[in-house]
Amino acid sequence: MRRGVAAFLGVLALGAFGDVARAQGLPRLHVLAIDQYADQLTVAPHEQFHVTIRVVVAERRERLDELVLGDLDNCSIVGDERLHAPLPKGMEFTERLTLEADAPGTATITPAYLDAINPSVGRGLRYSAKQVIRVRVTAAAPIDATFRTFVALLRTLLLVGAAIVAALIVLVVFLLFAKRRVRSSAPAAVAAVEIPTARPPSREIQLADAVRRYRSSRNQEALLRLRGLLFECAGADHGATLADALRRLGAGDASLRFALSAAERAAFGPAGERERAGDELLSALEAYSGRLAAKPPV
Amino acid sequence: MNIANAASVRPRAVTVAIGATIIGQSEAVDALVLALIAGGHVLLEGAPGVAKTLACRALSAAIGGSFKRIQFTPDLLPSDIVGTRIFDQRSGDFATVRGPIFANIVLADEINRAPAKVQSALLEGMQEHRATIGLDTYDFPAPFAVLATMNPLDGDGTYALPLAQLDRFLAKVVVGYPSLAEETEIVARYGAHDVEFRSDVAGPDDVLAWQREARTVFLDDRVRDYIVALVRATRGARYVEHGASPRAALALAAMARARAYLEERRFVTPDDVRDLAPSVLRHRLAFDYRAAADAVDTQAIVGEIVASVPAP
Repeated sequence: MRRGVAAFLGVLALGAFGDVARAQGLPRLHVLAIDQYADQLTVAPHEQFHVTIRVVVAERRERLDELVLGDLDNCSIVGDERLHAPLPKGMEFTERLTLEADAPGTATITPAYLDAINPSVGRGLRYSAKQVIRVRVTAAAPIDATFRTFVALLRTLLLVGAAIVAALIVLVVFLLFAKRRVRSSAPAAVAAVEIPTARPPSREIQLADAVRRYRSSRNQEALLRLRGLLFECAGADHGATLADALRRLGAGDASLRFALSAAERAAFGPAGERERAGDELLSALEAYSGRLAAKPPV
Repeated sequence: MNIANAASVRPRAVTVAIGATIIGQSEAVDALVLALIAGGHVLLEGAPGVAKTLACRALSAAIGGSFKRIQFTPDLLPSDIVGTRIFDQRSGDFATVRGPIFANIVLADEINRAPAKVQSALLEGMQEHRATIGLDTYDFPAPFAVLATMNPLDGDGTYALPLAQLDRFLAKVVVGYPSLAEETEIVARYGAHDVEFRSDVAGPDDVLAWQREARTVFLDDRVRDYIVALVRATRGARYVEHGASPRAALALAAMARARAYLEERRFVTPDDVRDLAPSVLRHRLAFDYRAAADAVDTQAIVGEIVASVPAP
């Protein structure tokens, strides 16, 4: 394609500049491409813009001084930067012009050109970029690039925000719908039923039962159970001694104090004394049980 | 619930007699009488001036009999306690001179100020109730009891009693300071008057009768098991390196019987055992280095051990 463009450019320039080229000793170059373009088409007065001219030749050379820039109208050159880079077959030259618009209206840059002898045909030709660049120089300040970026960013943010809001709405609707479904499909709650538990017998009942057992059979097992209940009645814990129980009882029930002492003798006294201590215990318990029965129920 | 016995006087009379002289210190007084009934020896530990020696003298005065006091010092010799044989120039033969240990009540004052050799001489007699002088062995008079005192405050010039020797004492009583009211009464009573003792309230024969009768006090199997459980609980307890020996269980049973006898009961109750356990056990335990490192109260440890065992 590049070869075609170059041949076309060569045909255009051949007739007009053939004699001049021969006369001036033009370089022999296979010009494969030449073009130019601007980075902005609308600028404000005194605003800078760039025009880039690109030339591709088949020959390997470091400089291309034969390139002639086009005419400038309503703008002026502020800077000029030249670069070249090797290609697999040839060299690419890039010249980047920094221009500044002068006044409102139109800034015009005519095509850059290059005069050279085409080795393939042996004649001098003018290779031109052809494009005339026209940049409009406006009176009003143009939209700043930063502002444009900001606007674009704002637009993006608005779009993203709108998408999130839409997603949330969809989610809320979905959850409400799902909840309604669960509620409608959940089985009816089972009413809590209080299971009646067996209430332990009162201490009076336990004591009466222990007395009955001890009265029927005066063995150590029945005595120890009875003694333990008497300790509980006095407020003493398991593992306490008679002194502990009496201390907890204080100046309390005299019949219980007497019963506790009798139980101690019946439990730890010598065998000959246990029978009598048992009798004293039972008589003391009768008095104590009578006091308990006389108490009004709480 | 009177106990029929051969004694002419009850041991409570001795307690009352000592209490007439000693103001307060009821635990020490009770321990002295209980140990006398149980046929054992008592170690009293307390600061100087808290009536340790006075209580011992009051006890010996109350029960009559012979009383000897030995002031233990670092230069004391075994012969100063047990006695020796001396050459009698008139008869041309050796004569035996019995030492102060031959008495019904021996007060070993500040026992930890004598070296181990002297302590051993005393403790051998405490165990055997006899002493050998030369080639002959002589029995001590009965009843025989050693009442030893020691001062815990002075560390200089004292010799710690080995655990094996402490084990010979039936009980160890820590004698504390009197209360405000007691101290006021001490000053009021003895500020301008000498201390008076009630003498011969009972006799040595009464004491022997008490000892015999106390041994017959009934000890129920469950109370016996409680005693054993208490003693065994000292082994492996926290801060305790060496627990009490079976001798401690025997001592606790003897002291519990003595207390029941003193209170004129024919049987031992768990309360007797629990109340006496600290005084019987406290000097028989060896505490490990952690007790010293943590600066724990060893008396409190004994109390915790006793409280950890449920009574029957």
